[in-house]
Amino acid sequence: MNNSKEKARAMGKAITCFLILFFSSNLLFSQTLIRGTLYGDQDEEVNLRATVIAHANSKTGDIVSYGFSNSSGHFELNAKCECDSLVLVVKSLSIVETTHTIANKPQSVKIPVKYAQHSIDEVVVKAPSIISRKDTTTYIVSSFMQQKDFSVGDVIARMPCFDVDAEGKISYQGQPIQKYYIEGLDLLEKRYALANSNIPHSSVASVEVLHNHQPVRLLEGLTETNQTSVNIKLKRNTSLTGRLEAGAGGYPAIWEANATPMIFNRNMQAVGSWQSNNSGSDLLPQHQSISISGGSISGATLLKQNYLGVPGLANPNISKNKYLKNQANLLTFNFLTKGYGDTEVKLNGSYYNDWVDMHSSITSSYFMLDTTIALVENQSSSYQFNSLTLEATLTQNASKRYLVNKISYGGVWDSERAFINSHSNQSVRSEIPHQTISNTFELVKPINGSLFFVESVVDYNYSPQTLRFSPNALMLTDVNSSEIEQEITNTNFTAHNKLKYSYPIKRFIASSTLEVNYHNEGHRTSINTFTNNETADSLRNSLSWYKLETQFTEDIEYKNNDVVISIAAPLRFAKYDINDRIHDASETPSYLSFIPRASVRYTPIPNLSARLSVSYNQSISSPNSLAQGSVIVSHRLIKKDLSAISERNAIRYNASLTYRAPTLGLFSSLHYSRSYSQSNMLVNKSVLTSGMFLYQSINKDNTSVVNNLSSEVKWYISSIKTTVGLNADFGDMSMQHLVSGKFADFNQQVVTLKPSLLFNYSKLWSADYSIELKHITSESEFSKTTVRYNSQKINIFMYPKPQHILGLETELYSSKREGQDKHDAVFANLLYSFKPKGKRISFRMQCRNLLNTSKYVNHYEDDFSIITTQYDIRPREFIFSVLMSLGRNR
Amino acid sequence: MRLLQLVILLIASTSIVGAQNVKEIDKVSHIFYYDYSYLHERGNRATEKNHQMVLEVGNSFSKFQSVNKAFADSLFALYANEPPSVAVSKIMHQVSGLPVPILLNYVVIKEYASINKTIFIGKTMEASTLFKVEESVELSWEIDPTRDSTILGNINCLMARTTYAGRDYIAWFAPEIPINDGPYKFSGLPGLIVKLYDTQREHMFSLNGMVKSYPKPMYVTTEKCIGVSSRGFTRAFEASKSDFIDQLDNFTFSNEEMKIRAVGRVVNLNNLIEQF
Repeated sequence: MNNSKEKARAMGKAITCFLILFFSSNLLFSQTLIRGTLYGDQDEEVNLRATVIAHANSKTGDIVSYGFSNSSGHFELNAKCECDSLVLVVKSLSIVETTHTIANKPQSVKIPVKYAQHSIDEVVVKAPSIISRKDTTTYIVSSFMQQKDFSVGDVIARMPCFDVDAEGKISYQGQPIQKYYIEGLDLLEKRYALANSNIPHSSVASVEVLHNHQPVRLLEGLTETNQTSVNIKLKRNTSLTGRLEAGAGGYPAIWEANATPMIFNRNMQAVGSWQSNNSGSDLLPQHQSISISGGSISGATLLKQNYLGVPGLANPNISKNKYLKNQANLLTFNFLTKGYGDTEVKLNGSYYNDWVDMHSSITSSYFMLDTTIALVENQSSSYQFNSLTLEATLTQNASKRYLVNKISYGGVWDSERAFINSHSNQSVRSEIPHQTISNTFELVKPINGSLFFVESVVDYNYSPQTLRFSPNALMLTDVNSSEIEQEITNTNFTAHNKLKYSYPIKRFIASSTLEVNYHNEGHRTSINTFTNNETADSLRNSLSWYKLETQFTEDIEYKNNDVVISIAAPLRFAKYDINDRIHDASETPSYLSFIPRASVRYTPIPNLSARLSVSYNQSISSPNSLAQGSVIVSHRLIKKDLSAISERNAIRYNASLTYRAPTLGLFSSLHYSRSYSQSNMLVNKSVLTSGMFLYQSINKDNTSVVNNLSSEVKWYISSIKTTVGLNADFGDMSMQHLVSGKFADFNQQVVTLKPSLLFNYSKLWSADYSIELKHITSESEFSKTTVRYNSQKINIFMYPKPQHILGLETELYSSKREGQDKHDAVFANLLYSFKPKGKRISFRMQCRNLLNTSKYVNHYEDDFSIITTQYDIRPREFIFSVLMSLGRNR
Repeated sequence: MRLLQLVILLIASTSIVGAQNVKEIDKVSHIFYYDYSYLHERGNRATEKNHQMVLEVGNSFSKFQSVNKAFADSLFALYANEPPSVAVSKIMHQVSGLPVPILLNYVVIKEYASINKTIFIGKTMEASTLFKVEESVELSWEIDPTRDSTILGNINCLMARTTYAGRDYIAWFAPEIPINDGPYKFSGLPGLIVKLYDTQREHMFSLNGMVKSYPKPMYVTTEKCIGVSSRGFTRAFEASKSDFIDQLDNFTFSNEEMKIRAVGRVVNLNNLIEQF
């Protein structure tokens, strides 16, 4: 009873409160009824629909009411405002905007208006330059192209966040891309440089960046990836496209030829290419199918290992066409056809042939225990590259099954010659052939809500390699000859088999993986002196071994809208059987390793992504390191190993933060990595009395720590078509090394800063400017060196008329090693291009190396030496070329 | 799946070339382009689609439709004096790559003289019948003076809210553009609606360009239409899906699963703007 009374009392109170609030709000915001009429010059009623807006107190005050006039010019407003006055603004496309101020009280008003037809400002309809939708960012090619560009690769290199390196490899926000699709098909796989540098940009509508891309359709939305892929979207109705180019010039005689027709149909794609030049244009990136992405090597089955060779030269940090003296030929054919049920058949064949000459002067400083050894050598090298790759791939990437079978053949017939002039002359020759054949099979299939993965790789390699040279001193006690030949023959066979079972449990996916790997290798080395028929055992090795490895992995992945957590715990057992026919290294060791890893990805908002990962790895060196006989790797380096396999334990941390705001054109990323590793063996670097270096592995516990911090900010200001960028990197490496038996610490720090500006607003000109500042400090117990690099690039292109392009490209390089002279090099190229209106053909004249700069100096630093190399630069050259895009788009 | 897409494409093409009898109702003075992002299936973000829409504004009327449909209209005007078979043969190949999505197969005409009067002429999945919805769309807009923004370069906008046919909407309008109009059936704000979306973000219209038009004619079809209410059209659309699914029996699918998926896609095509 009491309860019902209380309820009634409470109800009464609530009603009272409501009424008070209701009336007070009406008192506070009392309505003012305004009736009005619009009339014209002749006092006539205005017969049009105009908008009447009532603002509080002033024209910029809040809108308190609005209405529309009817066909008699009458309007009515109910203004809710505590203001003193109201400003009525009358707007229409047919009258002049009129302002009328009245007191805030109910009234009737007459507002005179003047007729005037006026129009709103026109906005040219344009697609935004960058569009973001879910996990796809789309770059509109026409927004980023310049008149001087030909290929889509030229345009991609200028898009914010993209980076295309000298090898043609594309990175996005600092990470190499995983796939390069053309209209959703992966025709060229890792040879995408062929398409990237030959598809005319006029055939391409947009470039799509696929974030967190899962290439296996069956696993989309199930298994997370942090990889990025690129999809080239062609313009509608583009079927035939490609590039035709022929050029000639001098002096000496230069030629360039490129015929690359491409066909892209809905169910078939084909790209063929024949290219030839001696103008310094490197064709290798369009041939090789090996790349590193996501921490793993793709196309590794075609990888050739060089066990020996003439002294290699570090590539200087200038573009190859400045110094590469080549005669390159490339013939390639790639074909893909789609069949029934999302099946694709793909054939890729490529032949590459090149003769490269290099002339350089090398000053090497080796920091030994008590002294620094300085060597000056003039080296003329000649490299001949011959390589053939053939691949046939069957793929079924359907929603119910993923199946790939690829058979690959790779043949390499490389040879190298070098003539080295020091205090005496030396001639070095090497033959480095390699043959490989492999088959890769992958299957993913769902069965009763679970997923089964089967993977099998079978790979056979054969590498008989030789090095022949005349030693200028007594090299080894067992060697006394005017000519020496080092032979290394390596034969190996690998079978990698993996079975994985994944089963989803709500937001979790748990997986169990069993891997069984078998590796069989024969490794024979011998130093032949041509004086004795028999070779001493100290100059020979003959190892044959096999490894049987079993790995079991349990991993679990948790995923919700914002977070993906992945933990894996692999346990690996490897058993070796090593047979040494010459020395006493035969043994049958076995190793048990636990190599866990974990990662977290957090995406609080679609534009922001943070990733943390940690992994622990235990690895052992190849049993080939048991070779106790001497091996001459180059004319100045002998390697001799101890009868032991080195073990390395490493823990690696990665953290990254990426932010993308495509509508603002703002992209940024921050990456940090740290690795700490321990090893039980170290290479002792010492110098022999003959002037040769001996690298000998010995038992010695050692550690190394590597820290790396890199950041990138790119801002594309679409209103002025300008990109502003800043890259900053910091690397720090601490390790222990062994020089002449002395154990010491070595530390190296690298700081790089790279601001850039790209201006593409004007139709009459475009320009880009970038600076790279690099500071390297290397410090050990024996030495401390500092090297500073400074490079600047300024490119200006002018378009006085749409058909004409005038361009000037300039580069300034400066390097300074502490205590030595500063080296400067300035390069300039001049370009004129004419493209007749409405035609696909264009004519191009270039003067390369306008200033005829002849030398470029580069420094290479490691824990033991600094090598300063002076490269010969291609002389001033004039070249005239005719360039044509194939297809309908101009 | 491709078969289903082909069938839908054929329907869309038929709908484009279907309307030939037209009359001029006004002259277009301004053209506004909207990027329209919408879901095919209610609540399923994976079915998000995009299409370009156009609002043509005249002195007394406005017309809102798909750009592809507008393009076809202009071709019909161009070949108006040709015999129908000749006109179709000339038009078909030009519009073959420009389909009108099923959910956007309509025209919305607003009559300025009669406040709130809206005429919706559209087709369901049964493409041969035209439906006409004449209604007075009374939207109660609530302007939020505290919210302003700059959209499309430098157009200052204010925010307003309303409710229509089962959804809550947020609109950004530009008082500096004195046209009380906007995409679809939305109008009645003191300035052009520059951006409009429902609070679930299942339908979003964004102005992405405007051009002055030479005074070209604004046409409306004079084909026979079945008059229905807005609710009636929604029901007719649902009913047409059943007919369409029945028609799928006449097509050959590679397997039963493909057919089930095709039927599923039709059934899930349910995200009309009006949700009654």
